[in-house]
Amino acid sequence: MTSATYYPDQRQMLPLTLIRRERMLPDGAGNAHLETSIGARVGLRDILVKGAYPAPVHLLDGMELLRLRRASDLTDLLSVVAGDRVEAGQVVARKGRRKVQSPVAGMVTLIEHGRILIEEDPAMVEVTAGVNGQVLEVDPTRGVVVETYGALLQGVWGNGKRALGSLRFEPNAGLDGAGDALGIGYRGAIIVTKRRLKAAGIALMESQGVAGLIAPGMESGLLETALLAPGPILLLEGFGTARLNPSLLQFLADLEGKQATLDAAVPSLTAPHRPEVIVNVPLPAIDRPAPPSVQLALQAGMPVRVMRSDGSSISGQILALPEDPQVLENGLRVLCAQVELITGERMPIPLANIEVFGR
Amino acid sequence: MSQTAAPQMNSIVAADFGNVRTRALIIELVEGAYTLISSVNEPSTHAFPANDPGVALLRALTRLGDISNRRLVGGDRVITPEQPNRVGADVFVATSSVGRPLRTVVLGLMPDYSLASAIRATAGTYVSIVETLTLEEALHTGETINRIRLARPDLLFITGGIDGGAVKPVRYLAETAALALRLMPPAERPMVLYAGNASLTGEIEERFFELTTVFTAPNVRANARRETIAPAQLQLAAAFDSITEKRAHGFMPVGEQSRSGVLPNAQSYQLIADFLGQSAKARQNVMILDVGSATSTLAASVRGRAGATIRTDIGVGHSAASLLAEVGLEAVRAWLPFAASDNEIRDYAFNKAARPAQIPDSVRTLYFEHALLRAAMRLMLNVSRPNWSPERLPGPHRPLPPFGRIVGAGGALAGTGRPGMAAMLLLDALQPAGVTRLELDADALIPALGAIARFNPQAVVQLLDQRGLDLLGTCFSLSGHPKLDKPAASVRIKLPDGEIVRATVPGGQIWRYPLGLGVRAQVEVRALGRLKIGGKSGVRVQVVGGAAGIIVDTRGRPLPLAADVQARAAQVAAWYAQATGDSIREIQTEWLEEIPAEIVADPPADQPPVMSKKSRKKDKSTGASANPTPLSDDLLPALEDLMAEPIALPPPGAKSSAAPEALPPPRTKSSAAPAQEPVDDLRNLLS
Repeated sequence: MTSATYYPDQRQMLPLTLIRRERMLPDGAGNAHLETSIGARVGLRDILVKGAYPAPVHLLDGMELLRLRRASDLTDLLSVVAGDRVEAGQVVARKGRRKVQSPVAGMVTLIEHGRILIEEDPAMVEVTAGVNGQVLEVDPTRGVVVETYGALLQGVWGNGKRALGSLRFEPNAGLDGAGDALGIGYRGAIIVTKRRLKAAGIALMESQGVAGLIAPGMESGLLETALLAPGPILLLEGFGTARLNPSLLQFLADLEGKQATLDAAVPSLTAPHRPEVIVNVPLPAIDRPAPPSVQLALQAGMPVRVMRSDGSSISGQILALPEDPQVLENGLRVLCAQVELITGERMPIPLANIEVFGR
Repeated sequence: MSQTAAPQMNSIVAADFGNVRTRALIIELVEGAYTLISSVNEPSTHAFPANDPGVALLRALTRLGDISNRRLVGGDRVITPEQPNRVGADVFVATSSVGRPLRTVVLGLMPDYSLASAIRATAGTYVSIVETLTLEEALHTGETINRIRLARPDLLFITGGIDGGAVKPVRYLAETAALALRLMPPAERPMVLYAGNASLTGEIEERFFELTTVFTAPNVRANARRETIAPAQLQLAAAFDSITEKRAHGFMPVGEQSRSGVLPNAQSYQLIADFLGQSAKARQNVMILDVGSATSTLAASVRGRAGATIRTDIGVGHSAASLLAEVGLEAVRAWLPFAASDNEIRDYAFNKAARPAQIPDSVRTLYFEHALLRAAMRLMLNVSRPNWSPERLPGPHRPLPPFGRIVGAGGALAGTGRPGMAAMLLLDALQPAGVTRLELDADALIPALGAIARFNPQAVVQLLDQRGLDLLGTCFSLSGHPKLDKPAASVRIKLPDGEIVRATVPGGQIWRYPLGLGVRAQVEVRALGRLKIGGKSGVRVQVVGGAAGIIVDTRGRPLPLAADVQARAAQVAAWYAQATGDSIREIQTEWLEEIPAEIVADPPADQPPVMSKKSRKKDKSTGASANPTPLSDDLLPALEDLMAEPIALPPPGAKSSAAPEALPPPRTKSSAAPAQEPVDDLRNLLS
């Protein structure tokens, strides 16, 4: 890694871009059934793929229960075949007064060697589009890739939920001061707060029917509460911080009132995208935007976002990219960029702490 | 995956894919010896937004080519074999620690035999054992099927039986497993590795062939007394490669270009620790500890027995939050030289998990980072120790064996840019006693060597012999309880030009002498008073200067980390200054203010009690407490087998011979061909 050709991390903030997102079954779910096909136009709430989590199977030993000598004897005694749906208590095989009953409601999955296997009804899962777009790719075993255009803002943490709603800024008194007085206009909205999220703010989702919350940060002690919240929560800066970078604030202000998808994906090693908010915007007939470039190396003059260890960020501009490592105030000696912050301060910033908004 | 043998191996390119960094290096044959030419690292790109590890690989290899004046990339592929005019390399190998571990269900007959061996075989690969099933549990067939299916495994590891023994029980296990697989959609079926009774291997392959991918290996427990896990480990690596390619599509082209697919780099750590432990002139204990962003690996060779511990939930980046959950707040707070609320500690860990590559940008956050790192290293040490001597009771209260060589790896440790700081972190967390050679693997050489060892063990021996690792220095660590600022050790260094350097080191310090990199010197350290060094009153050794010079650690063992935050503030800040040579970064007074009790967690039951203020006696010069909180009860045993090079000295006051001690032969430099014996050792390890 050198400062001369450093490719910084991207946390995208783009007013109009091409967005491609996987809409796949969650880890552990299977039996994918696609509800769409390549090229199909899809709406925000369209179900694209259905699946199921594996459910327990019940193995019924027909030979033992019916006292058979040979497994093949079971065939003539069966009242079901593999693939049949059965109810709890339903007789699946009978020999005289002896009978084999299904202990659960489910499906006969396999009959062989004198055994009948019945799978309980599984927990189903449905994956919706979440954006207005077009299906670009399909993976018959997992889901699809949808392509759309719109404004995109990515955050650092989400609570694993997704919702649609219009973007609205919090009342002047803030979420904590609003209580029951939060107006009807906020019902079903995705509320942006400029303050650190607190338990009272999260509680509003349930009591006031708020669709989702976007905040600069919250204390990590609220994590459990946030994960149990009925709707999505997106943190744009980090844990502990109360400050929202003015660039992000302005970006959201420009989108206020627009219909947005808040996809608060939990960041993980295997997550295909970051927690984010997407706003579909009308497209010009020509000059459709390109997807964000992954080949975005730092250059002098480039606007950047400087990440601080306290979870906050500050905007700035690259002044220079020294070749040699710099010693920080804490003694670490690392490769840095010389950055002019929006406060006018000029300082070396570790390359690893620099993010760009994408292009 | 290409298996074609290169007719001649003049150049080797290796890449290691980490969760944060992708590192690449080039090795060339120079004057008959393999030599590390250069290395680079780039931010990894397997995740958003590129979602393609090949992007970072191409960036790294392009940069590597620029530095080494060799074109390595053609289009989007690594050029192999080497072409005229320094184009390409003869071999490309890839290792990785990326992604989530293999979810594995282990099936065996007896928990103490085949199952235990199978579980030991999983060390070296990123495996998460999600279920174990044995015949001894006498489960109903339906229950066995459910436990397999509901565990959603990537791999079924079936073992059991001794070679030539009864086949029926193993056959039943395999039949049940096959039935479970048939009930799963084909795309969701796990792979199968069979390493049980050899007489069933063919039958098992046939049974699973149409259901899923099958790997087979010789029985891990061919008889009750013999455990053979290495072949199964190789097959586990192949399974890891296969699943890595399947899960992250971008790894497929990487694996296709690599001579041996994409290997788990943890396997390299175990192999090289074993080799280093056995290849020393007198067998020495060796530890390699890699604390990464998402995963950590500790490989050790202790008394000739090698093993590795992998934790896919321990790291100081992606896994920082799970690390904190595992060790508890107090294990981190114990290293902080200031008061910190529970929320502040948690916030730091969660922010690190959200932005794993981030570097601490202030004095305060550096302490949080290093507190997490030390806690991670200590945890890895404590969970690994039972593997080193399984015949004894596990737990942190056994004496820590002496380690002649410790190699650290991972961005948080190797990326400080300050060799003294890295050495201090290793000493703080691992607390070795006696004489220890401290090294860093900043270039991911060890992962590369593990992959190269499969087809060119000669190169591995030469690269390790020519000091391909970054030498921090040799550390002399005193055991016992030195008195602060009272003489604890006398040091005599004889430099190559005959100059003698003498020093008396007071207790409670990290003392450094800046012996130049690669410069040889004879060092004599005497422990004063009742202190010991490696169980002896003194040692005389020939050392080679490292980036941190020579270190004499007179802080004592166990490390007397002050329990009182004010004392710790002075103590820890002083240690950083001593280790780096910087002036002391004083801890701000307001940082020492007590945090209200309601936002400080109760110490967990397994933490040592903190002394009351009345019982503390602070030393004003260093701030160290007279009643320190011991971090462990690690005690040093008699060190007869300490290491090859140290020579026991007579006690202070006794006459010593004027004749110079016979020096061990100098280690071979890169240009000299190494002896054949170590290569054979490595071949044996691989066989």
